[in-house]
Amino acid sequence: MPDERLAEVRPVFRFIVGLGAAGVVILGVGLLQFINFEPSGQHTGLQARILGFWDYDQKTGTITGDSKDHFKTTEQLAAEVDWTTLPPDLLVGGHWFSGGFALDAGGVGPARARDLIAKPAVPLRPPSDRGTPPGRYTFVVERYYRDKPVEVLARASVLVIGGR
Amino acid sequence: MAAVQPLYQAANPRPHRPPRYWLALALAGAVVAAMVVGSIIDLVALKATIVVLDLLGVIIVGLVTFGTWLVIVAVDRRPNVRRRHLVVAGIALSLALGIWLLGVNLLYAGLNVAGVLLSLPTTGLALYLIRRLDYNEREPWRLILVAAGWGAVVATTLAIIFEAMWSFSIDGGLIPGPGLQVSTAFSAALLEETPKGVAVLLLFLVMRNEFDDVVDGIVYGAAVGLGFNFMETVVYMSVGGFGQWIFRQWLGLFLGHATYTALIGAGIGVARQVPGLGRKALAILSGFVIAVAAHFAWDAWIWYFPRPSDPGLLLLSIPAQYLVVDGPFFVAVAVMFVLGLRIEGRAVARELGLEAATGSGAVLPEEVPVVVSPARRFEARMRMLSSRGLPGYLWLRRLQRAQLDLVLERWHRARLEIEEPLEAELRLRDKVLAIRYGVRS
Repeated sequence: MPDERLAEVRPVFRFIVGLGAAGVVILGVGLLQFINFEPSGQHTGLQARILGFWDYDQKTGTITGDSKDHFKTTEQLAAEVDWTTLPPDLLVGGHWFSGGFALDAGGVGPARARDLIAKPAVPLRPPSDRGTPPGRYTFVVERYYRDKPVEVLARASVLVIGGR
Repeated sequence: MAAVQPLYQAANPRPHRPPRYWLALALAGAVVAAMVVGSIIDLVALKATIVVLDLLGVIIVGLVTFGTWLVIVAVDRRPNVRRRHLVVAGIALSLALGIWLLGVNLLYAGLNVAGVLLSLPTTGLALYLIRRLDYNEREPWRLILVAAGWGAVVATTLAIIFEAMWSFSIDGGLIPGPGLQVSTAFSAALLEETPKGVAVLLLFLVMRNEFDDVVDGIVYGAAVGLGFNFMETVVYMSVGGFGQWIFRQWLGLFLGHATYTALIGAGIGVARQVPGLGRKALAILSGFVIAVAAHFAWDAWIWYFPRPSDPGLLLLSIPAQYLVVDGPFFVAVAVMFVLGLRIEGRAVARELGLEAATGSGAVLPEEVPVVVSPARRFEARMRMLSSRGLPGYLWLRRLQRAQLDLVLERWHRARLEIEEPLEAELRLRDKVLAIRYGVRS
């Protein structure tokens, strides 16, 4: 009787098991992809210092005013990093990312930390001339190895809100 | 007309509760516990204030539930009355918790009433179409709506709570870029498919009479997915505007969450019928793995799809993305649905013939070719409509449905897939005869 019962549903049983196997392959590829972009054994324990977010004057390339946690879409902004807290020869970079999809929105590096000391302000680069679209922007200081980011040394977010 | 007494009575009309009921109870308890623990962690670690409302709802309804249980146990001495009251109270309090969590979700969506009003008709239409496709034995609306409601309220609440935790604990240490995208995709796939799958599993454990096979699993799974997609549309519209409605309620209505959870439902539906505990577990696991993988593929790999700068081409590329990434999984669901319908159809034909041969009168030999074919059933009803009007049409529809219920019961009994006493089948036969001879029971 069990054989007869199985025979009736065997095609659909085999089909779902086959799909399950395909699912394992897909998730396996995803895992390999993750390991490739997030290699293990890269944790150094180093931490960078993000001093804050400021209004940015594009003409002079300097930050102005007081540190803020949110900006308007018409305002230009930059993060300020204290590169001196990092070992001078460390290959690092600071990059802006917009939204949940990690789209690059400007930055500096990769370069030796000592070469970046002269550039503490890292401006957010809006995607168009019409200002910065509203949303959450994340600034990340990363350590590089062979021109590839391998470790996050600091991370901070800032909000850009509508209204002119 | 006189009421008809059942011809048969089982020696023990209320059999013991099968272990699967206790498993379902444990699963429901685990869901509530996960909601409470997850909310507390979110509150402490992330300072997420919205979860305070979730917690408050669970605590209030929990206290009212406990109080109601105490009163019913104290007042109702007769076991049958007590059981009935406990069931009614349980349903009412579950609804209360559902409405509360729905309110919290809508608050999370910025009270996007326009999104709700726009998404209700499309989701309702999709539920109607999916239910109609199951032409041999349509699932009751109450279960379809419970499934969709779970997807919209319970699954989304759990997903929000646990995805926030993942984002804080795991994603927080990752480098923005492809690695983070893969991690976020894993999180969404795992933490959204699990609470959605629990709904189908609970229906499988508790409503066994209405869960026949792979076809029913796909219907319930798709209903849960459509409910989830409804709430996700409302939330995303509050940020992304009308475009989100087009993507989620038209282009991706059947291709996204509906397809993923239908895959889970297919696995559980196959497990309903395949003999042996090992095979059942393998079928359920396979359905879950492919659902998570399909969801993951969409979230992780959609970004590799070419994005033309030309607006016209971009508009064309979006449906193409759905077809390329989600299309194969949708086809897989469709194939299993068709296979399931064929198996069901062959079983219905066989059991109708056997039932007609008994001479009980529930199915007449000349009715077999009609009842076995959806088209001929419809044709017979239309003939009845023109000759006897709407009452005749409705009468024949009830008769055909009762006959199909009876033969599916026979099918499960022949396959040793039924726990109920033979009385249940005899009652169904009585019901067919009562409809045929116009007797009100």
